[in-house]
Amino acid sequence: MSKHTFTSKTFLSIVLLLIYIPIISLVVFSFNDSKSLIQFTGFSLEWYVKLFESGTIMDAVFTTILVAIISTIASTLIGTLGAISLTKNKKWLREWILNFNNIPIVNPEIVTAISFFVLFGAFQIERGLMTMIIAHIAFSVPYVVITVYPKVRQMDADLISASSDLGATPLQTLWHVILPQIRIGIIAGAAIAFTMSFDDFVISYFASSGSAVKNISIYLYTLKRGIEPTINALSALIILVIGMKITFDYFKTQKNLMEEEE
Amino acid sequence: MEKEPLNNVKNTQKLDEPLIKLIDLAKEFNGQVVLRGIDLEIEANEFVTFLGPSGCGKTTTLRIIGGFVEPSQGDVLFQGQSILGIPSHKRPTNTVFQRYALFPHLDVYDNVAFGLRVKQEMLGRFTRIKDLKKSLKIESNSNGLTKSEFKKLFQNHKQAYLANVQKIKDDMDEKVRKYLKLVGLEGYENRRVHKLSGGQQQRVAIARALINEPKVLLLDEPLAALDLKLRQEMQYELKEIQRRSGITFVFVTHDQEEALTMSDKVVVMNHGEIQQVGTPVDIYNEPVNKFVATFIGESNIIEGVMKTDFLVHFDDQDFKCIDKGFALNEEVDIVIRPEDIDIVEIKDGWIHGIVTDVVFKGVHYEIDVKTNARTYTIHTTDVQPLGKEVGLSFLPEDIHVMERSN
Amino acid sequence: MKPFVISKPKIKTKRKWTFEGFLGVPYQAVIGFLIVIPIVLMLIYSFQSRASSQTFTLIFTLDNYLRFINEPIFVSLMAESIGLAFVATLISLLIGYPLAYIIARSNTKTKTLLILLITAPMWINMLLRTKALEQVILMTAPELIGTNVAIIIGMTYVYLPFMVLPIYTVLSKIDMSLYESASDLGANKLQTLIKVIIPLSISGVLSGIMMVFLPSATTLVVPKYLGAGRFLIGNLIENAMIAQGDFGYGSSIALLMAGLILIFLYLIKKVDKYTEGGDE
Repeated sequence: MSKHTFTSKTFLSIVLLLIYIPIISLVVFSFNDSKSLIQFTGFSLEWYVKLFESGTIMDAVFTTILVAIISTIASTLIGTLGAISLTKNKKWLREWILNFNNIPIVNPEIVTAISFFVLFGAFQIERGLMTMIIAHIAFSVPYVVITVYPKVRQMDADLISASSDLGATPLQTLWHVILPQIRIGIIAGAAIAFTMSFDDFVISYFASSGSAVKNISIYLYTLKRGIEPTINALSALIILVIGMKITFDYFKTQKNLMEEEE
Repeated sequence: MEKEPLNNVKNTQKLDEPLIKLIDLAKEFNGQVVLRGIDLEIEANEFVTFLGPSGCGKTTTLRIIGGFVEPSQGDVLFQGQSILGIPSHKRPTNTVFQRYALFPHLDVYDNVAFGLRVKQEMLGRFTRIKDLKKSLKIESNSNGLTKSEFKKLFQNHKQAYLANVQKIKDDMDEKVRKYLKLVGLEGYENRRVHKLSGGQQQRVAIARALINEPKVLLLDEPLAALDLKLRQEMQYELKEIQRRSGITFVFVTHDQEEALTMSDKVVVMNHGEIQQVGTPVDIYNEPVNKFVATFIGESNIIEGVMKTDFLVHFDDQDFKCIDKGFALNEEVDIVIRPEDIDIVEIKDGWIHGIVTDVVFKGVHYEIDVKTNARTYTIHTTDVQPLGKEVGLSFLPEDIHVMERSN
Repeated sequence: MKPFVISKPKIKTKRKWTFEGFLGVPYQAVIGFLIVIPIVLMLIYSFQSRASSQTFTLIFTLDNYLRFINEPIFVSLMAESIGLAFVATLISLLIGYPLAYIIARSNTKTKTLLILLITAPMWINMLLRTKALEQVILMTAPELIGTNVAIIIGMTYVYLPFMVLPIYTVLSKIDMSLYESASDLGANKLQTLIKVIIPLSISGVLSGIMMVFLPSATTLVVPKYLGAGRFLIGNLIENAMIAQGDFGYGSSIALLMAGLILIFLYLIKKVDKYTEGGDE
């Protein structure tokens, strides 16, 4: 049904162009051979070299990745088991928990960030790497739950009865039957948790404020000096990874659609 | 017919206790009472069917036996011991579910082997090599073995252990193949379950349950989703399997023909209560009330009065019958099966009427004859023309008198 | 049917519940300690004056909330932030709705590609994106930096995908046959749009508005890069909490924002019910 008029095609193109020009410029200037971010003088890879030599940036990258991995593993674990346990709860309890679960999702990030700040402050917990990780786990778990829970509900309840009937203990049933069935949801939830953690700024900023711990976003925000194209180089690499993921997603969806049509 | 109390099952087995005993089972769901006091005994090597319409409580009873549902009241005894507190994975029962409940992420082989593997996992927990090493080390320390002696000892144990593991694997493999063969699915080991037909899936479910050699197999309307021919085939096969394995089958269905074909004992249920327990012949020939009479087979139900023993009055006539034990002039329900009524000349019949409807049913004709009092339904292989005046005749033993139901 | 009463109490099975119970404990702990309690704390703090929160006494006061009315600077700041966010949201809606509409009406192959292209930037770190925009503006129109225009552009740029997605989701659920039946009844394209499509997509529009307006109003990043260090609500909160340690004030602002969200959610729910009900 490709009934696009000329106007809509132009509109679409203009918007896409406007969206991507800053991103493209970011990548282009990462190859600039001068410090300028406005004038492109020549091609050079020096900023990429400087990127890997920069201690502070690499620290921030390392922190970001570390926090993302730990919080993803923890929140996926907690969230998946939580989603499973939700199905066994009484209706009223389940509704309350789900309502609370959605609070960090609908709140503006700054509200959630403040809530952590207040929490750590009230109990006199020193802010740093640990608090950042805890905060990340706390805001990732709800996303894992809303991803996994529908999959658990969709599962045929008879399968659990059958597994138990055949002699499997609840733990064995969990491992051999439930988890394989919801595998897709778990992976999706983990992917969301990882992305949210990797990109996070506001919550991380408040959760680690006052400490020397910085993730990539905090590093950028608190940069005192002028920006060097090393940042562009970092961005370009991140964009590359995301670009690969998007392409992968695109071909995967195409494949799924074609399989459906069979 | 003797006015027998309900649930009077003739005790013919040698054991002291029945295999399963249900005592005053009741169940309430969200304010609705689904079971109202079920008492029943099930013997070993018996094919028992719970028969009744939707909502009568038959599946609930089955699930209580299997341990998936807790009763609100009552007890379930297995060989004299209560199993009520025991979770389903520890009960000596296996279930064949209505929608098969095959594990979609496993192939046929893994589905069937599931029960064995899971049990093996539980048992095998404490004999893994690491634990073996640990326990041997403790042993050797106290015995003062040298390092090389210990190594040799350990190697021997390891060999034995691995050989044992292999043997267990081979035994399991043999068993899986045996049961797949039993249900006629040899060669299907590696198929994905969603690619199988309904009948094939059903057989995998049966094999998966039987392989654990339970004392009791519970079947929850397993043939409901199959077409007629296949269903009849499976009925025969299931009966064969039960006969050969000696396992007690507890079968749930709403199809009365199925129940009559397969069972040693039929338990007719309605509204959460047992209406009648008996062999298929008993249930059919001597239904105890109107519900059973209409649910099983076709019937003509007539309200009448039992004048005295062997004499019943209905349709303005007295008829000789073979039932006794009712009070004088007690109001009763009478059932006469359509196939027991003969259409004869008017002069040869007890009652007469006009043929109002003739339907060809393949096996027989279903003919309605309207008399003064009511319309009788008759099953016969001879066709009658519409509008003909005919007589109806039946034998005293074809008149079944039952307690009046409200 | 005789009335049946269950006489004996239930026989409790002991162990079955504990396993599933364990599964949920970490999750419930996270919900309780990391979500509920912080909010409760925020509530308590917001009603405390600065002095009492330092001495751990509980004296309830409405001072923090009243500051909006009392101190003109904060009122104007609030007004500014809301105003800018409002304009940005409006523009996002004007751009995002048609965009979503066009994509929803494409064929399947183009649809996936387009949605991926629109949402891909969301995966890129927001600071990087804002920085990139800053660089482009510096290149082309450097005098804009620090102005309201730049801030609005920034907000729109960053949050546009959040407007497109919910509207697209709602639009793509609209059965294609609705278009046909509308034109069958004589409506031309514009009429179909106004009378049929827009009412059905209101819930998506409200979602989009909610997801653009609130983050825009409370963002820390956009005013810093594109506003040359300007102060908006987000920065206000940041300042109150981090620089001044005034938990009460910061919490009160944050809670007001949260309150706005609840209003939005309530509206969305009501609209959903309305469209469901009238949608026989």
